[in-house]
Amino acid sequence: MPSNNIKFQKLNIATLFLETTDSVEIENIIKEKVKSGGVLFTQYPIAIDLSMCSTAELEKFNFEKISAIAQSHGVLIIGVTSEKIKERIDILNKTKTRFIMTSGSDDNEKSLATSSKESQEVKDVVKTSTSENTQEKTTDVKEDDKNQEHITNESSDLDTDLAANIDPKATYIHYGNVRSGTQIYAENKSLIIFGNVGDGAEIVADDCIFVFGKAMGRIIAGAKNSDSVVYCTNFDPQLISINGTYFTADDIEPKLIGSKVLVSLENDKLKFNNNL
Amino acid sequence: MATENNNIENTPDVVAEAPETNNEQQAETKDMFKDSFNAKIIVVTSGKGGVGKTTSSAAISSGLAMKGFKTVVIDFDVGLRNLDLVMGCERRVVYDFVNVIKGEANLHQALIKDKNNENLFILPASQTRDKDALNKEGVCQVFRELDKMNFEYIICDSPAGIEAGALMSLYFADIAIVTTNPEVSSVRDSDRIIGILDSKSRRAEYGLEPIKPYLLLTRYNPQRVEAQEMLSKDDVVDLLSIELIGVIPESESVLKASNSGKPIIYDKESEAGQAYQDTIDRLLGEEKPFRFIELPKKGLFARLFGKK
Repeated sequence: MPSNNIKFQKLNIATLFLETTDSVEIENIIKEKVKSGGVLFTQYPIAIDLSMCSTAELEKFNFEKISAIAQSHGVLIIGVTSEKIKERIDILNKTKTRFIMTSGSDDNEKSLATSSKESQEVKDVVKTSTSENTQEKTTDVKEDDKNQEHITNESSDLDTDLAANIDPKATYIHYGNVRSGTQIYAENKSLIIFGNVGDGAEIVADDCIFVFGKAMGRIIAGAKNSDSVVYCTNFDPQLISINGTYFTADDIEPKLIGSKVLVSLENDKLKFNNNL
Repeated sequence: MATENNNIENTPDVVAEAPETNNEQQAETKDMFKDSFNAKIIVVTSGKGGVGKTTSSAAISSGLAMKGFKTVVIDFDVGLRNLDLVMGCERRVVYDFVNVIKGEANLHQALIKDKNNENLFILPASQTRDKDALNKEGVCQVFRELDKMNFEYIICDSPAGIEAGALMSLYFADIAIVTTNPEVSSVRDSDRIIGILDSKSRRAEYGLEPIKPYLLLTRYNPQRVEAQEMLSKDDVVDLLSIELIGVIPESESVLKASNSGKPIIYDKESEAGQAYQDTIDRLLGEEKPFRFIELPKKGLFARLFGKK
C-alpha cells in the first residue's frame, strides 16, 4: 500500500442526477432525499451529475452555495461530474466548481491493468460504500486534485491517441499455453491465445483478448479502449477486467464457468453473453 | 506467490512489440554454455515441496543404472541435503558438490559409488554451505568432467521452489520430470515450473529445442479420485498439457524404503516400485499401459455379499 503518496483509485460514489441548478429547488430535493433515502445520504459522501442541465444552467451553478445548503442538511457533496465533462470543464472552472473526471482517463486504466494489488484495495473500498437505494445511479469516479491539470490537458487527446496507436490489423497471437507466473502484455494491440491460460498467469491487452482454450488466469483487456471485448471458449478466470471495470472469480455467475462467453463493457458494467 | 513474482520479474515476460531481452544476456556469456553435452541431463523438479522429487530421483537413477547405463545422480538442495539418506550412502560422504565446484576436491574424490549397482554414482550436496555457493560456470564445469568420464545420464534432484537452487538444477537440462501430486496446489506450482523451464533454461536462452517436460504423478490414490477428493490423471494432464510418463500410487513401502536407504524401485513387490519400473521403460521409449490407476474391481461374490 502506498503511504503518503497520491494514487489514482476507482471508487464507487452515489451520484445525484440533477435537472436544475436552482439552489431553492436543489434544497427541496435534498430535503426530500434525506427524508426518504435515510442513511445513504448522510453517511456517505455524494457527487452531483449535471449532464441533464444545459450549459446556461451550468453557468449559474454556485457550487459553494449548494454545498453549504447540503451540509446544513447533513449531506456532503464532494464534487460535480457530467457527461462530456471535458467540454464543460471551462464553465465549471469559471464557477469554481470542484469537478470529478469520469472514466476514460488512460493513466488510471494502465495502473489497474498492470497492478494487481491496487485492485484488491479498490474492491475493499467498493464493498463498504455500495448503494442500497436504487433511485440513485452509481457511477465510477476518479479524483486526484494534484493531477487535474494533467488530465484536462491530455483527456481531449486521448481519443485521437487511441485511434493513432491501436493498429487493428496487428494482433499479437500467442501459440501454446500461457504458464502460471507468466505475464503477457499486448501493447496497443489485441491479443489472441491459442492454448490454455494457466491459473497463475496474467494476460493484458490494450484492446481485445480472445482465448481459444481454458482461460483460468487474470484477463485484463481494454487497457486503452472501453469498447474492447473478451471472448473465451472455456471461461474460468481468476479476474476479468475491461477498461478497469473488473469482476473476480467470486463475482461471476456459476452458469458461465466453463462455457463460451463473450464479455463486453456497457455503461461501465461488465456484460456476459454465453448464448453464442 | 505475489512476493515471488516481485523477486523474479517485474516486467511482463512477453511484450508484443519489445525485443527479446535474452539477446543481451547471450552477448555477455558469449556462447559459454551453448555447446551441448554428451550425457542426457534430466532434472527432477516440481515447484512444490514434498511431492516425491528425491524419492523419484533415487528410483529413476537406480532404474537407469539397472538397465546398464552409467548414471550419476546429483543433489542440488544445498544446505538441506537428503538424497544421500534415500540412497543409503549418508555414512560415506567425504566431499560434496560445492567442494568440487570450489576446487577443494576433485570429482573422483566426491563421487560415491552406489552399494546396489556399480553403474550408479551419487554426488551429494553440501550440508553446511548454502545455495549461493552454486554458480552456472561451476556446474557447467562439473558436467563437462562427467561427460569425460563417459556418464550417459545425469539426474539432477532439484530443491523445492523457484529460487536459485531450483533454477541452477534445471538450467542445463534436456529432459524435465515434473513431479506432481494430484491436488490443486501442486498442479498450480507445477504449471509455474513448466513456465520457468520454457523461459529460464539454457535451451530457452540459446533458442535451442526446448526442454522436453514429462509429467510424473506421484502419491496417486484411485479411491480418492473416485470419491472426487483428488484430481484424476486425465484432469492433471488436461491442466498441465504435458506428456504423462508415470503414475506412482500412494504406498506405505515408500517410507520404509527411504528409512532403509534402498530406493523403492528395488522393492519388486511394492506397487510404487513397479510403477517406477514402468516409468523407466517409458522413458527409454517403450510403450507401457498405466497400472494402479483404477480401483480393483469387485469380484462376483464380493458384489453379491456386499463385501467392501
